Amino acid sequence: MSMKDKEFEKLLRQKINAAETPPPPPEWWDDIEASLPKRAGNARPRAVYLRRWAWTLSAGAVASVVLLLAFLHNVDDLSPESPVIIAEDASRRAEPTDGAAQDAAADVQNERLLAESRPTTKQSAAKSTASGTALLTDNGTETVEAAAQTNAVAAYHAVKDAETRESTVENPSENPEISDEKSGGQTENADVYSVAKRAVRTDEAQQQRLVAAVHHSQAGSSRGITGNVFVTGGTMGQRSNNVTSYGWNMGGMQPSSDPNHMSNGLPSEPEKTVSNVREKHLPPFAVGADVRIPVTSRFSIETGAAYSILVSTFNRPLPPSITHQQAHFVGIPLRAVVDLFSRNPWNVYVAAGGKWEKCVAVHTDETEDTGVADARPTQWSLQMGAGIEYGLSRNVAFYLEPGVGYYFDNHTILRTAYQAHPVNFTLKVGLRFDIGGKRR
Amino acid sequence: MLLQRLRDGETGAEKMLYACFAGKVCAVCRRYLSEEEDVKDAMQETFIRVFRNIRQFEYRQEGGLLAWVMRIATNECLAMLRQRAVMPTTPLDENLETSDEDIDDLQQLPPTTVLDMVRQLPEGYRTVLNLYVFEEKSHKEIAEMLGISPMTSASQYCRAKRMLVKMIQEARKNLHEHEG
Repeated sequence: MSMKDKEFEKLLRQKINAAETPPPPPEWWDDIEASLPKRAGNARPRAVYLRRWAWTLSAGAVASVVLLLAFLHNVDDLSPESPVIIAEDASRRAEPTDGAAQDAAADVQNERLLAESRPTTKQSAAKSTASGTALLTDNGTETVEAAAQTNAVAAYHAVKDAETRESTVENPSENPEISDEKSGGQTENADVYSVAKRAVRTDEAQQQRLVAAVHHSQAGSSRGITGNVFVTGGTMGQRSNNVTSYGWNMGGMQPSSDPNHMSNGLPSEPEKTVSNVREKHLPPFAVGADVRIPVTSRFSIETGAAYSILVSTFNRPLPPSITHQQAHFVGIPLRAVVDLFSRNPWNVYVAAGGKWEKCVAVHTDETEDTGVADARPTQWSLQMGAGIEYGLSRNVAFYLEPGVGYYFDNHTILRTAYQAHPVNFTLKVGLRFDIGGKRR
Repeated sequence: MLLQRLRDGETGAEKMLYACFAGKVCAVCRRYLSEEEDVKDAMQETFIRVFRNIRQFEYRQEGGLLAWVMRIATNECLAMLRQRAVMPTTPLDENLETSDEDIDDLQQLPPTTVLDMVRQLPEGYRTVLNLYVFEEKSHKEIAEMLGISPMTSASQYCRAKRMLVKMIQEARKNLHEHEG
C-alpha cells in the first residue's frame, strides 16, 4: 500500500469522525426502555447473585440466632423461679387450697399463743387497731380471722384499711364509738390482727418477690423475641407493581408497661383474686400473606391475611396440674407504608396500622369445663414498624422489619400471650416478590 | 459513578448512559447501515446488550466504556449485515492507486458529505471499508469477522475505495460547476 493510500485513508477517517450526524430521535429511547425489563431482567451475573444470596443467608443466620437466644431466654424467664401471677375468676378464688390462706390460718393459732404469753404495748396498740379494723371493715359481721382463713389478700386489705384509720382509733376523742370498742378489750381481735398482720407481711413479702419476678420477667421479655413464621403476599413499588411477600416473622413479647397490669399480681377488679398459677406463653407463630398497594410514589396501603397460633402452659400448684392450651387466630392487618429512602437495591420504610384477629379454635387439655375451649374472642391491636429491604433481583427483595404491637385488652377468659404481654416487639423477616414489574 | 449506578440497576443510570453515548453509537451505526430503520434496530440491540452485560465490563482506563460500547455497536451492525447475507464471497482482482487529485478532492469536501458517500456504498463494500479504515482491522481480521477470505476482503475494500473516489470526483465536479 502506497503512502498516498495511507494518506487517503487517514483523511477519510478524519472526515468521517468530524461528521456531525443528527441525534437519534427521542422515541428511540422509549423503545429501548420498553424492552429493558424483559430483556435485561436476568442480566445479573452469577457472582452478583451469589453475593446477594450471601447477604440473605447471613441475615437469616443472624435472625435465627437471635430467635434461638430469645427463645431460650424466654424459657428461662418462665421457669418456676420466676412465677407470673394471673388474675382468676371468682369461682377459683374461694378454693380452700389457697396457700396463703392456709398459712394465715395456721398462724392464727401461733399468734394467739404468742399474744397471750407476751402482751406488750405494741400489741395493745395492735388490739386497738385490730378492733377498729374489725368494726370498720366488716361491720361486725365478719372477722379478720375469717378473712385470713379465706384469703390472705382480704386480710391485707382489711389491715391496710385499718392502718389508714389508725390515728383516728388511737385518738378516742375523735371517735367515741371506736374508743368504746377499744376499751371493751376484745383481746381475740389482737390475735386476729397479729395473724392478719403477719399474713399481710407474708403476703407483702410474697408480693415483693412476685413483683421482682414479674419485673425480671418484664425485663427479660423485653429482650426476648418470639418467633412467627410469616408468609406475606402483596404489592409494592412506585410503579403500581403487585408484590407478593413470603417471609419469616419473628415476634418478641414484652409485658405491659402499665405496672398495674402485671407488676404485682394483685387484682384490679374486686371480683378477681390472686393465685399461684404460673403461666408460660410460647412465642406467637404466624403465617400470612400481604398485598401492598401503592397509592403514591412513596405511600402504600398494605393488607392481607394472617394465621397465628399461641401456645400457653398453666401450672397450678394446688392441686398440682399442668394445662396446655393452643389458641388459633386468623387476622387481617391493615397498614400504611411510607418509603423513607430508596436507592437500589436498598429501600427503607416505616409502616403503621392495625390488625383485627379472631380466635377460631382453642385446644386445651383442661378437664374442668371453664369455658376457655369455647372462647372465640376478637383481638384488636395496633402495629407499627420500620423495615429495610434489599433487592436480590428486579422482582425479589429480602426484608427485615422490626416493629412493635399493642394488643388491646378484650376482657376474655382466654388467657394468651396477647393478654400477658400487650406490648409486643416483633422482628419480621421475609422475601418480597414484585409481581407487576421491576422493583424500584 | 455512572458505571456503578448501572451495575446497581438504577433506572436513571440507563437513560444517562444512553444520553451520553447515543450520538456516537448512532454515528457508527449510520456508517455501517444506510437505512434509518436498520440504524434504530442496531442501536436498540446495542444498548440492550450493553445494559445486559454492564456487570461483566471491567473498567481499566478512561474511555474504556465508550470503546466497549462502540465495539458492541459494530458487532451488532455486522450481525445484522451477516443475517442479510450481504457479505461478498467472490474475490475481485481489482486495484486502484490513489492519486494526489483524489486526496485534494477529499480534502475539499465537507465531512457530512463524505459520510453520506460512505453510506451510499453497497453494504458489502461499506462493511469492509468501515472495518479496514475506521476500525483499522487487517484483511485477515476482517476475513475472520465476516467469514470470508482475506483476498475477498481486500478486493471489496478496493472496490469500495474506487466507488468512493468516483463519488468524490463527481461531487468535486458538481461543486466546481456550482462555483462556476
